[in-house]
Amino acid sequence: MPRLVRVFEPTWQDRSFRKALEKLNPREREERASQVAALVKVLQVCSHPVTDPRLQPWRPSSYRGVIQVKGGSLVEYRFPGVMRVIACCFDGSAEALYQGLVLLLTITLDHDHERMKKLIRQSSADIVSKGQAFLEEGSDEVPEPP
Amino acid sequence: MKATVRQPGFGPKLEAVLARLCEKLGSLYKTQAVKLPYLVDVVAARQLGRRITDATFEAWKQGVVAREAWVGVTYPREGCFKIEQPEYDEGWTVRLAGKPAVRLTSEELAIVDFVADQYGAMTAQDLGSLTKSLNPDIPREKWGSNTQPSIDEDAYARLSEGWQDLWRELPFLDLTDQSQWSDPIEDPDEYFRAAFRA
Repeated sequence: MPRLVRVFEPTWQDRSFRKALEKLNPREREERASQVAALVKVLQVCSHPVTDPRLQPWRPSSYRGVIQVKGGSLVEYRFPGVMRVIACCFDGSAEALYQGLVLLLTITLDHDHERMKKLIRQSSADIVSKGQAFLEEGSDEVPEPP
Repeated sequence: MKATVRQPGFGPKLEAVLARLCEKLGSLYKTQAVKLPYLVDVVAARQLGRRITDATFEAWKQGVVAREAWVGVTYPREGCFKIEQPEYDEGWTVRLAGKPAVRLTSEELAIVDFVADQYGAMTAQDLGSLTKSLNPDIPREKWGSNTQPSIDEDAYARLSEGWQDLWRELPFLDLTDQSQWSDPIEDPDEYFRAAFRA
């Protein structure tokens, strides 16, 4: 019997997902889509959404106490880099209706990694151009200790 | 009781990080002084492949704290900071009053500046919550136990807007509300191709 995988609409493809998606070119989008599809195909047939060895490529971690739903736990699936899929997985102690369900909550894509790198490079260059003096002498704005 | 005292007590790199944060933000309130260095190291570990500070980070009740920063601010001695200590804890203010013993490289300065720009305006409560959100593996009851938090790629990944938005919303979501569920995904290839085209 295949495991049901659904998405939770209020958080799925939310604003941050759409913002991150806009930054990807068509090839990157296709690549990410097939990466997530590969995970979901395994989730549909796995014996357990965390411990099934077939899920090891995504190094799932389950966090207890984060979700206040009986039998539900937050699970993080890791992809290369900083992409993550976050799901709520319901185990045998959940109500019968939810047992075994994997409810996908969100995908975090690039996390502005490129933007962060760019900012840091830029800022680093600015600091250098503002003068070696700061690095060597310290800021003029700082008063000398008595 | 108000007192103005001078102090070190931090490791040299932590002191330099705090000094730069003071320069960028004007002054630091106590929560910023003990929490922002953690964010600096999370970003640095990913961007530079190493941490900047030599601080000991611990999971305290209100989030991740750099132990040496807390000690340095709470029990100030001589050093490059001036610390104002009004009676209430959160009113403690750290100001720069000299030069740190070591200097940060331009790359390190850029990371500290980035953290100051991104997280320097957050309230004490939001900063605490942010540091907790980077460590979902620490159960609620373990906050306050001095457990060591993550400074790895996972912590960095959780700084993403998507994770932060979800973390904020989670307590208010009813995940068992079936009217909010999609139909079961039948063909993942087709489903995600469409999702990523949207």
